[in-house]
Amino acid sequence: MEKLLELRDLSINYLVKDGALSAVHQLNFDIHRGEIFALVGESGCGKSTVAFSIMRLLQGNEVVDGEIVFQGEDLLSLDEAKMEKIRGKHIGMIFQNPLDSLNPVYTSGSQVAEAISLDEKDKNVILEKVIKLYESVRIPDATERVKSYPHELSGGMRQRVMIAMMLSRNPQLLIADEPTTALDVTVEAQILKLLRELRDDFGSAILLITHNFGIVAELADRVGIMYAGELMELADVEEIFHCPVHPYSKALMASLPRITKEQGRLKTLEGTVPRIIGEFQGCRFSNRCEHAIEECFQRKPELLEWRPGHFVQCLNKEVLHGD
Amino acid sequence: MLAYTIRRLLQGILLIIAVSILVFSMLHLMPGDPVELITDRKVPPDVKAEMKRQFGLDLPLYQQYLRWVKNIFRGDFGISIRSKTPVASTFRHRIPVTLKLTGTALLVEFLVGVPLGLWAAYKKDSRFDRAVISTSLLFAALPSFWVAVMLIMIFGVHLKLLPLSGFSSAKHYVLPVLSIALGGIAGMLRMTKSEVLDVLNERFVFTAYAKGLDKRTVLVKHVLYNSIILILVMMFLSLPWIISGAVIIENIFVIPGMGGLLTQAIINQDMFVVQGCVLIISILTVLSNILADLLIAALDPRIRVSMSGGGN
Amino acid sequence: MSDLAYIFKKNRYLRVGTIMVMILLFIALFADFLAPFAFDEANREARLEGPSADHWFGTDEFGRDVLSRVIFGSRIALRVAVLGVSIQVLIGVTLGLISGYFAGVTDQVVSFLADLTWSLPPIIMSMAVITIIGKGLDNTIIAISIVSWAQYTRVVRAKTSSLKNMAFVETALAYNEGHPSILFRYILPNTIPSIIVLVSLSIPNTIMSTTALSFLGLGAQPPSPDWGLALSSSILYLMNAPWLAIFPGMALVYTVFAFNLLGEGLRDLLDPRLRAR
Repeated sequence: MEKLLELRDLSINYLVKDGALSAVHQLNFDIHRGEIFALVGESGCGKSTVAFSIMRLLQGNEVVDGEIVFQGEDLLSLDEAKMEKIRGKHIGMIFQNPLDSLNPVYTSGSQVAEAISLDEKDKNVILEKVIKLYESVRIPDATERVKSYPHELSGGMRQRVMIAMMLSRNPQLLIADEPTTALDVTVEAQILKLLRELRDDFGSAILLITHNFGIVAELADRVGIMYAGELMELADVEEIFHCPVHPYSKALMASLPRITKEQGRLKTLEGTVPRIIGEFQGCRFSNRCEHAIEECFQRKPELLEWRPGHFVQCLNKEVLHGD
Repeated sequence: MLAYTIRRLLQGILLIIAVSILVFSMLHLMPGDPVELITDRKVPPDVKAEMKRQFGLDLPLYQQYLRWVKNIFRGDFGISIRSKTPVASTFRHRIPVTLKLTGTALLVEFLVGVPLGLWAAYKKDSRFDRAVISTSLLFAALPSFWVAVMLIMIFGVHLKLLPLSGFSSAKHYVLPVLSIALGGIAGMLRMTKSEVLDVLNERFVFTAYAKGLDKRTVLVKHVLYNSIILILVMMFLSLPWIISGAVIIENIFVIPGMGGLLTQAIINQDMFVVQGCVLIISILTVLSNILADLLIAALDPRIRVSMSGGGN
Repeated sequence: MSDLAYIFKKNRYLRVGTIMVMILLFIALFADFLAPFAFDEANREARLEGPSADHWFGTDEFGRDVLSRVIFGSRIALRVAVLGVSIQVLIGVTLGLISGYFAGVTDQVVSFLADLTWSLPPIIMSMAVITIIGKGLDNTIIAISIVSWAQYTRVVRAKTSSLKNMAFVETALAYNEGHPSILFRYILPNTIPSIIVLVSLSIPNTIMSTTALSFLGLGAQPPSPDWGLALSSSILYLMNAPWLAIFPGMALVYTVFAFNLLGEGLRDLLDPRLRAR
C-alpha cells in the first residue's frame, strides 16, 4: 500500500523552566492511503502533541526534530504559506471538545462555508455544498441547521459540523483527536460510524488519537501504542487485541473496562509516567514494568519487527519469545 | 432579540425612574425649607409663601414629584437662581459640548488602546509588550486633573502650542481629550491584551487554522472579532468613569459643558441647575449603557439567547 | 525560607506595592518629625520661591513650604483611604451578605440599588450628595463612599449565595444556629480574602475621586495641605511656579500607584479571578 504520511524520528521537546521536557521521542510510523491508524495511550503520553505537530499547530515553545513526510514532502521544512495550503485541503483535523471547536459568534454553516470558500467563490454553490455536507454527516433538517449557532446545537451535532467542515475540502488525511470524548455513548457510536463511512466513501485516511480501546476495536486498521512519548508496540488491530506482546500493552488490555472515558488514566499500574527533562537512560516504561531487567534501565530499546507487521520496543527476550 | 431589547429598555426605564426620585428628593433632603433653597435670602416672607404655592411645595410629596416629572417632560427644569434664565435653555447649549468631549475621549481610548493591546498580545513577552504594559500601569495611576495641569504647563504655557481653555476649534480638543483618555487608554490596552490572549488559546482558533485559513484571516475574523465584543462591554462599563473625568476636566479647561455648570451650581447652591444636571447626565449614561448592551447583543449571538431565556 | 518570604519573592507587584505603601505609612506617621516646617507656617518674605536648600520643593503663594505640605498631605490621603473604605465595606458587605443569604425580594432590591450606583458616574452622584450634606473633606469622603459600595455587594453576594448551600451551613442550620450567627461565623470569614483584594483596589479609586472633588473646591478647604486643593491653586502660577503643580501631583501619583500595585499583587495572591474596574 502507498504511504501517505511517514513520521521519521520525530522528537518534540517543550521548553520549560528547568530544561527541555521530552513530549515525543524518536517516533517512527507510517499511515497508508485510506487506512485508519489509531494512536493509543494514556493522557499525557504525547499523542495529541503528535497530532498538532503534523498540522504544525503547536504553540511555539517547542523544539521539533525529525521529519513528517506527507506525500513525499517534509512538512516541517515548509514555509508557513505552503503549510496553509496543506491544512484543510490535504490534512484536516477534528478536536476533542466540539463546543469550543466552533466559534460561538458565527453560524455553524458559515464556518463550514468559510472552508469551502477557499476553493470555490460562488456563494450559491458554497451554500449548496454546505447543505449537502450537512446531509452527508446526517444532520437532520440541514437547510435550517446551517443557520444555527454552535450553542444552539447539541454536542453530537457540533461534532458532525466539525466533520462536515473538515470533509468539505476532501483531505487525504483526517486527524481525529479524541473525537468522541465529550459525547455520550449513543452519539459516540453514530460519530464512529460516520468516520468509517467517510473512509469507505471518500477514501480518506484517518489518524485516530484516543485512549479508548473500544473505539480502537470499532474503527482502527492498525494501532500504535504510545507511552511517555515513544511507541511501545505497533501492529494490526487483531494482533494487538489477541496477542499483545509489550508489558505495557498487556497492562492496558488487562485494565480495559476500567479506563474511563473521562480520565483516560491507567490506575492498575504502580508508579507514574516519568517526566523526562534532558537525557534519559533506558526504557521509559522500566520504572513501572514487572518484567524489567538490568539492561532496561541502561539502554534505550528500539522498535523492532517482532513478526511481519508487528513491531515491539522491548529488551527482555523472555517477553519477546517466552510464554 | 426583540424580547431582549424590550427587557433591557424596561430595566433602563426603571433605573431612570429611580434616579429621578433620588434627584427629586434632593430638594427635600437638604436642611431647611425648600423655598429658601430656590429663592434669594432677601425675599420677604409673604412672597415666599406665594412662591411655595406657586411651586406646589405645599402639596403632598408624591404629587410634587409627578408635577416635577410633568414639567421636565415639557422641557421645564425650573429657573436658575443665579442667572434668572430657564435652566433648560442653558442645557441646550451645554449638553452637546459634553457629549462631544466624552465621545471623542471614548473614541480615542478605543482607537489607541485596542491596537496597542493587540500588538502587545501578538508580541507577547517582547520588549514592546513589557514596555507598553509597565507604562500603562503607571498611566493608570495618573489622575486626569493632574495630567491636565501638566499638559497645560508643557503645551500651553511653555511651548505655547495649544490653547488653554475654551472649546471652539479642533485644537481645543487635544489637551482635554488627552487628559481624560490617558488613564483609559492604559486600562483598555491591558484589557485588550488579556482578552486577545484568552481568545488566541481558544480551540476554535485551532479549528480556523486547521481548515486552511491564513494567519491574517484567522486573527481578524476569529480572534479580533471575538475579543472586540468583550472589549466593547468593558469600554461601556468604563463610561461612568469617562463622564466623571469629563466633569473635572471641563472645569480646568473652562469648557462650557454640563460638568462646569454642575460644579458652579453646587458651589452657588443653584438647586434647579444641580438637579437638572444630575438628572440629565444620569439619563444619558443609562441610555448609552442600553445602547451598548444592544450593540453587543447584536454582535454576540450567545447573549441574545441567554438573555431572552432561550437556548440550552 | 518561610512561606511569606517565598510569596514576596515570587509576586513582584506585592513586593514593590508593600514597600511603597510602607514608605507612605511611615511618612504619614512621622510627618511631624519629617516635615521641616508646619504645613500652615506662612512666610511673607519667601513667597513663590523655587526649590532651594531651605525649601526642597519650593514655597507657595503664601510662602508656605511645599515639601512640608506634601508630607502632611499624606495624612489626608490615608484618612480618605481608611474612612472611605470603611464606609464602603460597611455598606457593601452588609448588603451583600443580606441579599446573598436571604435571596428573594430583598436580594432583588439590593441588586437593583447596586446596579443603580454601579452604572452612574460616581463623581456626579457624589456631587449630588455633597449638594445635600455640604462641602468639606469628611463630607466628600462620605459622598464618594455612599456611591462606591456596589462592587463589594456584588462580590460578597455571589460568594454568600454559593456558600449558603454548602454542607457546613446546612449543618449549622440543623443545629438551630441563628441566621446572624451563621452569617458571621461561617459565611463572612470565607468572603474575607475577596474583601481584602477589593479594599486594596478601591483605595486608589477613593483617593483619586476625593482628591478630584477637593480639586474642584468641594472637598478639603484651605488651609488644608490636601494635594487636590494644592493642585487647584497651582493653576494660577503655572507660568512662574511649576513646582506647585509638580510635587503634590507626584505625591498623589505615588500613592495611587503604590496601592494599585499592592492591589494587583493581592489579587494574584488571594483571588486571581476577581475583576474590578
